[in-house]
Amino acid sequence: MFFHKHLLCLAFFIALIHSNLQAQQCNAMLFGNVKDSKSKSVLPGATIHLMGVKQQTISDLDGHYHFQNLCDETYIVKVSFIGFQTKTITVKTREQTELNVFLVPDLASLQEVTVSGAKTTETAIQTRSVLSGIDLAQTKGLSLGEALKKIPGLSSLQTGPSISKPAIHGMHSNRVLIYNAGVRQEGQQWGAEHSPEIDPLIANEIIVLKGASAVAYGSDAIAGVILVEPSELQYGKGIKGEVNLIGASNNRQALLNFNLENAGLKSDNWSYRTYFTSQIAGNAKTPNYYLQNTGYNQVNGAIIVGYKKQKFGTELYASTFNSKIAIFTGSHIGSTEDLQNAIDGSRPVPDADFSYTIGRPYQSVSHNILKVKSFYELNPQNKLSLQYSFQQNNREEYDQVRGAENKSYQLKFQLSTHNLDFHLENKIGKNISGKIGANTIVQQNFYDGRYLVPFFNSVAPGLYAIQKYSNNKLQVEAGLRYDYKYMKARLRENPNVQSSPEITPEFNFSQLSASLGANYQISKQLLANITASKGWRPPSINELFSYGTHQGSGTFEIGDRNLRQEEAYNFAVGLKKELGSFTFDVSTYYNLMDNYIYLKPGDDLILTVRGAYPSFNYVQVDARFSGFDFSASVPLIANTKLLAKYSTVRAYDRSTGSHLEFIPADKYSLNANWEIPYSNKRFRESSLDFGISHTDRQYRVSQTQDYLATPSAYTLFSLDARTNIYFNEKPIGLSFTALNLTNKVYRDYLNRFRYYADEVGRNFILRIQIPI
Amino acid sequence: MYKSKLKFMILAVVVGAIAFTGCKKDELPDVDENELITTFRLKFINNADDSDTQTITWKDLDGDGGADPVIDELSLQANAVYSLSVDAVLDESKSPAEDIKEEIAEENDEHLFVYTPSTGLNAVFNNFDKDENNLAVGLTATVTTGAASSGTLKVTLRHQPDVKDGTSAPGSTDMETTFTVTIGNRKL
Repeated sequence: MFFHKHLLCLAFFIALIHSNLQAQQCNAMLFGNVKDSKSKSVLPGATIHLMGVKQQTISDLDGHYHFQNLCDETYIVKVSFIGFQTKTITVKTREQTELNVFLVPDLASLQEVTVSGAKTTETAIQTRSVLSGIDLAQTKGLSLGEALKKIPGLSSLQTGPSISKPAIHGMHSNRVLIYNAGVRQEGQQWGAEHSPEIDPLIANEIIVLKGASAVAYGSDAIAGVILVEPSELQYGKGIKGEVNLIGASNNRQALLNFNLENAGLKSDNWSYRTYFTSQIAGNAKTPNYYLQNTGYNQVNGAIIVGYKKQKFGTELYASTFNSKIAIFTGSHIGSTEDLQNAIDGSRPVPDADFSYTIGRPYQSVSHNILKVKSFYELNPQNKLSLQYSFQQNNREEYDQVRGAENKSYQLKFQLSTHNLDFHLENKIGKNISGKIGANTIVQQNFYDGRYLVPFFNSVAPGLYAIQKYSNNKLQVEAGLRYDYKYMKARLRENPNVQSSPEITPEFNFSQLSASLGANYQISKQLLANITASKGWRPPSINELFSYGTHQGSGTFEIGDRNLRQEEAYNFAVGLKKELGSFTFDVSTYYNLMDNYIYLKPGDDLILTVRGAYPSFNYVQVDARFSGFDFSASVPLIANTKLLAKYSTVRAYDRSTGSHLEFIPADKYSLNANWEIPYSNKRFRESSLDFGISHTDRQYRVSQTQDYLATPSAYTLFSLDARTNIYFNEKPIGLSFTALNLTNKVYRDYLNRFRYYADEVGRNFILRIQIPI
Repeated sequence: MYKSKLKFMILAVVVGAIAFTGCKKDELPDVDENELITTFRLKFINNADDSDTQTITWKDLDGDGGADPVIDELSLQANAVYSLSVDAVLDESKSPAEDIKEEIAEENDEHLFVYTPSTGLNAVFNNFDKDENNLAVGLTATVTTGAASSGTLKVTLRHQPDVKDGTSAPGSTDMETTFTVTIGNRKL
């Protein structure tokens, strides 16, 4: 967050210098510090506004600010900062004018800050990346999985152009926990073709914690956690909101989104916010042809209602996500021979034109969440929080079958989850803070239609404690968690035979998780971090009970009811510099996984009425994941900066030394960003960004085990231009993004449809953001 | 004041939760293997000799996986002409058994039976029945055998909704079965 503030500050500052250079010969300078009048401590992040010329800057980490190239005249300076009374000062500038500003704390609002002190965005000590501000804005209109690809170390597992599932360091599905507005998302995570049922437009920031995050978020967060965070509810701030209109050229996506906050409430104790998103997209287009049946549509909404008093607050959150997603017709195969023909090219890609029509095969998915969160401040040191959430995931899959017109869905799931969390946030003395809590998840799953996974009920209680010691330079955090999971499944002994006897196998899993981490502030600008953590997860329902052909991938998948829990030991070291003109963030990790569960190609061929399918069995091996994520920003001349990113993952089966499948290839990217120094009353905060990204071929995998050798390396170019147009001091945001600028024909290893079709071609996205 | 509102909110949550969970299931759903075919039967009638009628069956009653399918072998006479018909395509996992042949006949403009003899097997398949677009369906055909030989016959049912063009390439496979075939000289 701070990183972006600083960049923004830099951008404003640079824009300032240049706009004035254009105007006239003015060489005066205005500078100084912003301080708290009471404590005399410096205030970084305060806004300093030059009223007459409508220029502003933000104080840096030392509370320092300065304006250059001002004319010798009188200016009105307005200084504001959250929690302080805004101060307006008249100053006459001549050459070097120093103006130190002391702000008086605003008692009323400070109390408010304390009350809402439980910032959800505060996370445990861990390697973390944040997508917010312009970075997040550049991804608006994309799915969560696509948006997250901007972060080094994140990739997405795709099923055609419309389904994208995030992966952290090559791990995905049940190993990645997603928190949607503070609620642990419980959808059909186990399916690679099931993308998260989340509207990313609700987010003010998306935080990614890389590495096992067991203690704070749940034992099964082996690969990491993705926090999709709406901004905090504001109290007594009046009406606020925005409308987003987004259009994309490739699949002719049209999106309307708005949010509205706090409208017309008389009481400062109550507040609310609503979100709404509706979008429609048609067939996506590769450089050479349309992909038949790849459109989708979506209607999402959410409402947050909050009540807050001095020591007590409660928040009700309800959201609904509804999506209908077409699956590329060319991926529908009936036998391994179909698959082979698709690969050899002897089966043609179905002819298609542009269309918004969604035909079979398609998925219809809804996800509804209801949450109540309350807190009570016992005393300044201790705060109690209670959160209950209920969510229901409904998924219907419509296959392309004989006599489809007379049939409804072929497969339906209904997964219901209750989640109760109770915890105490504590402070001990000046240096120690933390939380102690208990958590229970109760889950129930039904299905109808064709068998994929059985009915099941599960109960999973857990206890956790996490404490942090901090002084000026050092923070040390330790956490411990215990989880137990009971699960009872219900199915037929042979799920494909009606007369087969019904069985109800039961499972018990339990284990400790632990974490130890430290942050050390080496210098004012350099922060080092080191963490060691242990997490575990019970095998997921599909790993235990899969039994049948997986037609999209031409395999016969067989689960194993005797799988044991998977355990992960994660070690990570990071170093980052977030301030100054040159910034970087580098982290490296080493994960040892015991009993890592994966789908291994078997030796058998299973003879079915559609021909012989190779069998794939869920097996456990000891695995090792290690890798490196890097990003750095270097200033160049004339308001430009270069941003470089690199990420790499290596994953091995420890017993055989062979590479694991489906791991992302190395990825490099370079962006040149130009903060356009020209601004006037109307156009401001304009920037231009040109990006190149290169993805290597994944050659660290057995090329013979797959139906097809891994796709070649590819390089993509992108462009992003944005500006704000001011009307009556209200900015209307306008941005234009071009993806795959050169219309490159390529395929990606992590796309399950790489056998059948190319990736999508050039795409122009236009976005308009209107404040209310 | 706020207490009553709070009560209302809690009530709303509870009511909501109950409403959401409304769908309770006591019974496991019936086995509904997608487009399962458990029995496939072909009938060959010698045009010159009605008594030479061969029926072969591919049968896998427990569906995909489990026990292997039971597959008959076919023996035809050399240098003969047979009328071939698809005798039965059934899904017996349902009760009563689903007649898939009937469905195929109804949607014959979306389906195609492809007969592929292995190299060296002297049998030619032609004279297929046609759909409304005058494209082959393959529910009936004529088989002309040549000299004595042996090999396999692969029968593939292609599902080609909206893309049928008379070739086997478009669409996807609904069924793929392989029979062992012997073509022999007339026994004396």
